[in-house]
Amino acid sequence: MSGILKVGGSELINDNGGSGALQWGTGIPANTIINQKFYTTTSQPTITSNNNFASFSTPFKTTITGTKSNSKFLIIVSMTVSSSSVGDAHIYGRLRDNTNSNATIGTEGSDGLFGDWLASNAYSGGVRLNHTELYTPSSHSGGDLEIEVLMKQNGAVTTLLNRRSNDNFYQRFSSTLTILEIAG
Amino acid sequence: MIVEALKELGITNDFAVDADVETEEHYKRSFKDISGENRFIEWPEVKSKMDELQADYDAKQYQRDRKYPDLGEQFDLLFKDINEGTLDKTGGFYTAIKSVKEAHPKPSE
Repeated sequence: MSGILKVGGSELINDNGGSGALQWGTGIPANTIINQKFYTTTSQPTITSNNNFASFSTPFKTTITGTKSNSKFLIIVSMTVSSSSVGDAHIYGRLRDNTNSNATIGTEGSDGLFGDWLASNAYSGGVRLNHTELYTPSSHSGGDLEIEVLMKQNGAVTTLLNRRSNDNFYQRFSSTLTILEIAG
Repeated sequence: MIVEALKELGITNDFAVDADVETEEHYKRSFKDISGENRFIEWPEVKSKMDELQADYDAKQYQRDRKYPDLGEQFDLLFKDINEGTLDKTGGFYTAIKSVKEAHPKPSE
């Protein structure tokens, strides 16, 4: 038996044509959080990229599934990075929509999307880098949406995720990438 | 250690590699030549350089373990030794530094 829940003529929930799997309908109130993806990693990839945004060796990315075409996405980045540089090194971040033509997310300034962060191998720990972005794809057909963090450095130094450089025995961290889907 | 090893082996253009690589399979899977201008170095050569750098790092562990008094305290010890005429092996400065060195001796000493 199939069913649709409507309020005032707006379809809030249906059972996907009788499959029994409930899903949001077309009449969800705008700005309702309807889906989420939480990704956490303790892997230790690096990037050595002088003024050129690039992927980590093991990409820092995640995919939210089952999205709707008119949604907005709140992307929450919390990552721990360090640098191979003994002195301060400038590191910059970018968010990329790998699903929709590798679109660059947000409005970047000269310091990328995240700003100008300093990291060093001399610090006693990594730098906790945080950024939150509300993303409305210019074109999105729904389904999977893959978001990736790219980074670059100012100079020929290495950015490391979740560890310090040149140190094999201590100071390991975790990083997270969270996506909340918000009804448009 | 693999990042430093690759740089010492001449990988000077943009690249990416996992920092916790310990096997050839992981090395080949994670190494990315971002610039397209680096040569690919085979795992045995990379591993050999990693081992060399690790041995050097381990040999200097005693240096990292030595926690000397901060400079302000050292200057104060020096001043007191000069003021009291004990700027020799009986003085506070010498004693403080020597105790740190003795706690973490150089392996060959």
